[in-house]
Amino acid sequence: MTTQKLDLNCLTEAMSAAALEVFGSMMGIAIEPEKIEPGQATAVKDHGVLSLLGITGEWTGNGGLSCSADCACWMASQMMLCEFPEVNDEVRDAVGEITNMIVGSFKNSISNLTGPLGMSTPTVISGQGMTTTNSESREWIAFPFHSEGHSFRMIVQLQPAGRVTSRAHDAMQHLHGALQPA
Amino acid sequence: MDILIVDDSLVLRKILQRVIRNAGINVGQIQEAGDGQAALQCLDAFKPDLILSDINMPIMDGLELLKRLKASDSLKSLPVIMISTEASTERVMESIKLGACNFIRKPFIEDDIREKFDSLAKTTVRKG
Repeated sequence: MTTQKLDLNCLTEAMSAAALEVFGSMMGIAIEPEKIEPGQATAVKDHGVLSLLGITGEWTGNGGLSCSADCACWMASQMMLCEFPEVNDEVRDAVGEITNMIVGSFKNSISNLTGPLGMSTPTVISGQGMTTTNSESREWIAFPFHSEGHSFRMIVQLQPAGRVTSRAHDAMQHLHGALQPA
Repeated sequence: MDILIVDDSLVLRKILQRVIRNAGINVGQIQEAGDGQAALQCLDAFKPDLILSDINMPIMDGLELLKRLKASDSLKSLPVIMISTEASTERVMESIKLGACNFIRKPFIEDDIREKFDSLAKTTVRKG
């Protein structure tokens, strides 16, 4: 990574690299990134799967993955080499592990700019009409990907932690500017 | 070689088994545990030649498992390879300091796993 600021390009580059690596090495699938969606709430309108984990350190927030039920079954099938006609514990487990690996790799990539980051184990839920929000109305950034007729979104929201260091403050100012509508 | 795989993800445990067998490694019995505490219980009856353990797990994580193993006279010489997404972070360094013999980064690939097993075999032969 060449950029020295935590901006949208840097986050996009880190997330794309992480997702491409995980899908390539664990499932042998080539995925393609689409245009990112800053400031979008994450909504799973139809039956779908939402996987979330916490990020801690000088920056705190969440990372996650959202997709349709069909897409979740496809991911699990590719990973486990067997068919999953519907979302079950194994499918949720597979989606959680994909989230864990992608967000883990993502946070490793940006840690030279954010300082060391920790990560919780993922929580995966499936159902209908799910929307992510949080008590501090932080902005989510969605990174959409597609492959073989399926699409999913990696999602991230990051904020400097309570005690803001000058490095985190500078980076936050820069990132906030990038998230404003043109 | 008998192996104990410790990971909270059932999917990852299955994939790891598949990758190990596909990598052409001569394995005997493979048993699984979902966290460090379950691994310690499993070790009462199962005597593996190697433990592959995730770091980030609920109930008892991989680092605590490693500490308990190294504190046990009967288990301290058992080789442990840690597995984590947390490449080159403090927790990986800590696991090596605590006595892990190697580290595999997730997402893992067959070549990496084969290389780590080869390295372990050479070390074992040298020590033996």
